Amino acid sequence: MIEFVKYIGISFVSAAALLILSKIIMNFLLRRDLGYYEEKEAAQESELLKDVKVGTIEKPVKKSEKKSEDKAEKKEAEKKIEKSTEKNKQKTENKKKTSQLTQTKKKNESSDTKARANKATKAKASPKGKSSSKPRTPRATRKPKTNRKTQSSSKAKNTTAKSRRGEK
Amino acid sequence: MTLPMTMNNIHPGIVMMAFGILILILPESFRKALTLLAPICAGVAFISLNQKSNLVYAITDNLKLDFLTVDRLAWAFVAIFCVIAMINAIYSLPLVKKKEAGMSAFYVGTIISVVLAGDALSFIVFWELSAIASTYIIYSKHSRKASRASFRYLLVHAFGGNMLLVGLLLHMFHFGNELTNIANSYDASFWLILIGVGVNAAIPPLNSWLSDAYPEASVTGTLYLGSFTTKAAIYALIRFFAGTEMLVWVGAFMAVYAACMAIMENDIRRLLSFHIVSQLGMMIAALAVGNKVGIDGATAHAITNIIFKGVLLMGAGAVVYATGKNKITEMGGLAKKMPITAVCFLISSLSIAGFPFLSGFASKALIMNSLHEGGYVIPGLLITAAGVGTLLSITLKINYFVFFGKSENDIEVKMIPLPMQVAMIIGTIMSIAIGVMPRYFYGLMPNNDIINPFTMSHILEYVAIFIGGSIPFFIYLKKMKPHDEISIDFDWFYRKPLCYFTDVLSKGVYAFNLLCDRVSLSGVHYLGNHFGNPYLWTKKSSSTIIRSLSFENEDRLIGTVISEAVGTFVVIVIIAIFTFR
Repeated sequence: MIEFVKYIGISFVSAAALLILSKIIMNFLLRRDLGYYEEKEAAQESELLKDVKVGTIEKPVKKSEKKSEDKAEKKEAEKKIEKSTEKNKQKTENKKKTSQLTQTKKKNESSDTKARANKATKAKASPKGKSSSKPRTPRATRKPKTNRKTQSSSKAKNTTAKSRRGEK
Repeated sequence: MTLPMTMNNIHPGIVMMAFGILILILPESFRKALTLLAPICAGVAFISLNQKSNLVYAITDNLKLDFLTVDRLAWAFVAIFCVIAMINAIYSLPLVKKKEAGMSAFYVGTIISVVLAGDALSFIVFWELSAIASTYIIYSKHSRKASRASFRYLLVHAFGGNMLLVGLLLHMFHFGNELTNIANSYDASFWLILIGVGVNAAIPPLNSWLSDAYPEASVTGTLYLGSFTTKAAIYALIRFFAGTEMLVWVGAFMAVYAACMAIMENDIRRLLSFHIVSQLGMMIAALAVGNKVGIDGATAHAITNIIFKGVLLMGAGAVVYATGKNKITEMGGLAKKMPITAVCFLISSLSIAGFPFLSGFASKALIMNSLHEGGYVIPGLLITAAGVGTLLSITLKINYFVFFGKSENDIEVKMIPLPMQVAMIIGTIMSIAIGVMPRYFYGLMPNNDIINPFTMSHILEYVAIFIGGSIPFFIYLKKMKPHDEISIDFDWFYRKPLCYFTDVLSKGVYAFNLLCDRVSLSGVHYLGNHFGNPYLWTKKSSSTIIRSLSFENEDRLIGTVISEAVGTFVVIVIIAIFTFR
């Protein structure tokens, strides 16, 4: 019986000692937050992953979804191709028109130069007296000189307008 | 021509390793059958062993590797390893994947081979193989924490393995290739082997890898690791250090320290890991006494510990599997939802605390007897206190806060697969059987030292310990509830200061490398410039005389050039005369 009480005493004292040791002393010295060892790593990782956009990562897609997505992509691609071909057509037409305009301009200019040259030769060929016999009209009453270039361009414009309308 | 290998028995360890490799190679469909077949075949090979069994490989005429040496100590350890391998295999059937199952079988094989090794070289080979296999078992959970824990585990065990290797080489130099007792020799090989084995035996301050790595492994991984690594280390300690007086105190301190850590702990598997350390302390104290009862006590407690700690780890694993939670603070009232697990856990927790008619009672009786015989009163009291700590932290704390106490949260519980429940029941029945019939169990021990544990005084002693230890628990019930925090251990030294030190060291080395790079590059540039253009030697000289020698200098004094040339010629002639005289 004495031994029984003795062992109860020993176990009670040792239990109390262990509780004090672990729950007070060691608890104070050794207890830390959950992320104690990972703090530095977590900080380093967050710094490294700062510029990474998580949204850019593609999610795995089901087969059925993939097929529908592929179809939609194909349609879009076809539309784009159609648009681009139309644009190209328009561009080529515009280019043609501009080239036609430039050609007509050149033709007109060449005809004007020829006309001027003819006039100049005619003037040289005519005698001096004839020109002096004609009374000179005063400057104010003279008709204003129209710029030949503008005339030619206006002619060209008229021709292009006619050509657009389908007139000869 | 004679073969270099002689064999008269199949080696159970090699059988296990072969099955492990087969599980790894063959498809998943073979996994379950092979996992069960492996321990059965190893068990059959073990039954056929006798003291004449050998497997010798002769490297040279003088150097032979003895893979298979059977004595009573090795026989007792291999017997329990085969039994627990079977129970673990049953438990792990629904849980593990192919690689982990294969590696676990291989790991068991290496541990059995460590125990059966008859010489130092084969001992260290299998010891290192077991470290590698166990590292993979921790890693096989494939979580971030597991991979980090496995890396730390590998580092610590690489350190221990290297210490052991050097120690054993020294041992071989002095005593030959045989494994002999080196207790109280206190030479270099003694300390190196002690450190090497001490790492695996989790002797403080080398203990923290255990509580760091075991909870991070998978449920079955923790079970396998808890059953083998440390027990093989106890076997090695009995072989090398039985009777080393110093270790009595080390063991007693270890038991109390780990019990205190367990009281603080919140993670259920980490708590049990601390208790592995505490129980190892008891075994070390017993084997260090060195008498027959002590060696039998250490062996017996290692065997019973494998069984009841196995069931405790299985129970904890079942709780983790069913709830998906590790922390005691997140659990409660699970006994109603998991009755079989709760009952098995309760019986095993009573067994670990040394409750009469359970296996722990039988083995602790031997330990206490050995300490009394050796006259170690204070270590005896410390071991008793550690037993009270076990009672507080496992028997009362886990059972109350996890299984039988009131639950604050309504926890959803998954159904536990049948093989897991069967394994727990087998382990519990074994624990009860050993506790009820300890005489047969004692008969299997190395020294066959049979005592009667069922004396009235011995039974009353443990009943008194249960009563006395339980009173403070219920008085401070609120205080006993764990906090959701971690407690730092000796691993703090290599996870904090050593980490900073290596960080600073690596930065320092990098800076030094950069400096060396710069200096050497500028040196090479300088030399390249000056060797490439000899005029610079004279042109940039601080001496006016040398500058005036420059060929680019149009105002050079021809007189000084001649005098310098003549002077150097004279010096060369004098040196030549003195050297070739």
